[in-house]
Amino acid sequence: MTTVLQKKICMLGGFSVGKTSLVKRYVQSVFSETYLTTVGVKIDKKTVDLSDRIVNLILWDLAGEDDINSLRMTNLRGAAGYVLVADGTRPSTLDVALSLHKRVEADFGPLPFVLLLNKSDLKEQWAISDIALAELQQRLVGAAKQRPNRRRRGGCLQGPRGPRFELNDGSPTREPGRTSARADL
Amino acid sequence: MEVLPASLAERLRELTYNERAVAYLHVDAALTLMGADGHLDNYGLAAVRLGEPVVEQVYFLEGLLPLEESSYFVPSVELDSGRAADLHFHQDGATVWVVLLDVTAARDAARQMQQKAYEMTLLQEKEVQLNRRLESLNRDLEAANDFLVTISTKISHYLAPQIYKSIFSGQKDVAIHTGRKELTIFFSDIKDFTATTERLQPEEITFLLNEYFTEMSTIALKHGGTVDKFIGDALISFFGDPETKGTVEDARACINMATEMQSRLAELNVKWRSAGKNSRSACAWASTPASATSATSAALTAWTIPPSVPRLISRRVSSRSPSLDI
Repeated sequence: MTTVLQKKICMLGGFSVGKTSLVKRYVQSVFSETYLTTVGVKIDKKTVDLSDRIVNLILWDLAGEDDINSLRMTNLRGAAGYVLVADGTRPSTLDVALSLHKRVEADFGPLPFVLLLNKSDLKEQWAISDIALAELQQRLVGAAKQRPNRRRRGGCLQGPRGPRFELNDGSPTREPGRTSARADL
Repeated sequence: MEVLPASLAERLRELTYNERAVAYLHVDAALTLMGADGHLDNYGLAAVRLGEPVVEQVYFLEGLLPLEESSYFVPSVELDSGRAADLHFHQDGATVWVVLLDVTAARDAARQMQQKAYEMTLLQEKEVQLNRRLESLNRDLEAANDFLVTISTKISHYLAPQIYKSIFSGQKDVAIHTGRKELTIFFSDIKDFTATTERLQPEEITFLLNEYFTEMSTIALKHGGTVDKFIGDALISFFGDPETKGTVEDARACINMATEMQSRLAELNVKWRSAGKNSRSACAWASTPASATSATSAALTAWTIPPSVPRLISRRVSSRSPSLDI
C-alpha cells in the first residue's frame, strides 16, 4: 500500500513577488498577467506522486509582507517548511525575504526552506547581481552547515530550477520547471 | 456580561448564522471528525464524513491540530470554493470545535484597497528604478560628451578657427559636395628661406617658423582671413569662406591684413636680427572663383584653387621687393 504524507508548506515574501502565480502555476498550470493581491491566506493542495509514496503538499499562500501587512507568525504553525520568494527585478524584496527568514527562524527554529528568485523571464530587468547571489547562497548554506545535528537546512534556488520542497524526513521533492511562473512546469 | 433581550439575541444569532454562513466541525482528541453542520456547502465541505480522520478530508487543517492553545483564530482563509472564511478554533475538553465564518465580502473590500495601495507603491518603485537608469544614461552621455570635447579640442588645432567654429556649431555641413565661390586668396613666404635654413640649427628654424606663423595667423584671424595651410615657410589664407562681407570688402580686408603682416614682420626682424636671425617675406593675393570639392575621397574637404591662380600669385611675389611690396 502506498504511503500518503501530508505536509504544510508556506509561501513567504514581499508583495507582488509572484507567490500566488507560482502556486497557481504549480497546482493548476495556469498563469495570468493580471496582478491580484492576496488578502489573508489562500490554501491549495498539490499531490505529488513519488515512486514509493504520495505526498499532499498543503500550500499556504500568505499575503505579501509590506509596511501595512506584517506576517502573522501563527500562520506558520505546523508548517513542514517554507518557500521564500523574492522578485529578481526588485532588490528590496530580497531584503524582505531575508528578514522573514530571520523572523521565522527566531520563532520556529531552522525549518527547511528554499529561497526562490522569481521572474526569470524578466532577466534583462534583473537588479540583483550574480555575485550578490553567489555570496548569499554561500551565506545561507554555510549558516545551515554550521549548525550541528540539524537534518533540516535551507538552500538558495535561482535560475531555471524548479521549486524544491524538502520534507521533514529529508527527502526532496522536485518538480521540473523554472522560477518564473510563466514558464512551463 | 450584559444579557441581551431574548428576541434581540435570537435575531443576532439568525443574522450571524445566515449572513456569515456559519459552519462547524467537531474533532476529537484522535483528530477524528465527530460532527459537522451549518453552511458546510459554502466552504466546499458538504461531503465530509463523520468518524474518519478530519485532516485527510479538510486539508487546510493540516498542521493546526491538535491545538497549542485553547482558543485560536486564523483570519481570512480562502478555500477551494473561492469563499474566504475566518477559522476559529475552540478547545472543549479533549475535543476541538472549528467554526467557519464567511468573510468574503470583507476580504474583497480589503483586497480592493490593498490592490490600489500596492499598485501605487509598484509605480513609485518603477519610477525610482527608471530615474536611476536615466541618471546612469546621463552619466554615460556626459562621459561620451567629454570624450568628444577632448577630441574636438585636439582637432581644433588642425583647423582654421572659422572652419572649426562653423563645423562644430552646426552651421557648416561636412557632406561631400562641390561648390563654387569667389575668394580672395593670400600667399606669402619667407624670402631666401632655403639659404636661411642652411645657417640655422633645426631647433632655431622651428622656433622661427612657430613664432612667424603664430604672429601671422593671429593677424589673419584678426582681419577675418581663414588660414588654409602652411607649406614649408609659406602661408596660404583666404577671405570669403566660411564668412564673407562681399568680394570687395574681402579683398580690402586682405590688403589690410597684408599691410599689418609686413609691419609686424619688420618688428620681428628687429628682434630676430638681434638674435642673429633675419627674415623678410613677400606676399601677394588674388581674387578668383574657386571650387570646393572632396575629389574622390570623403576623408578631406578643401577648397581647390584653379592652377592659374598660384602661378599668378607666385609671379607677383617673386617680382616684388620682399619687405615692401603689396
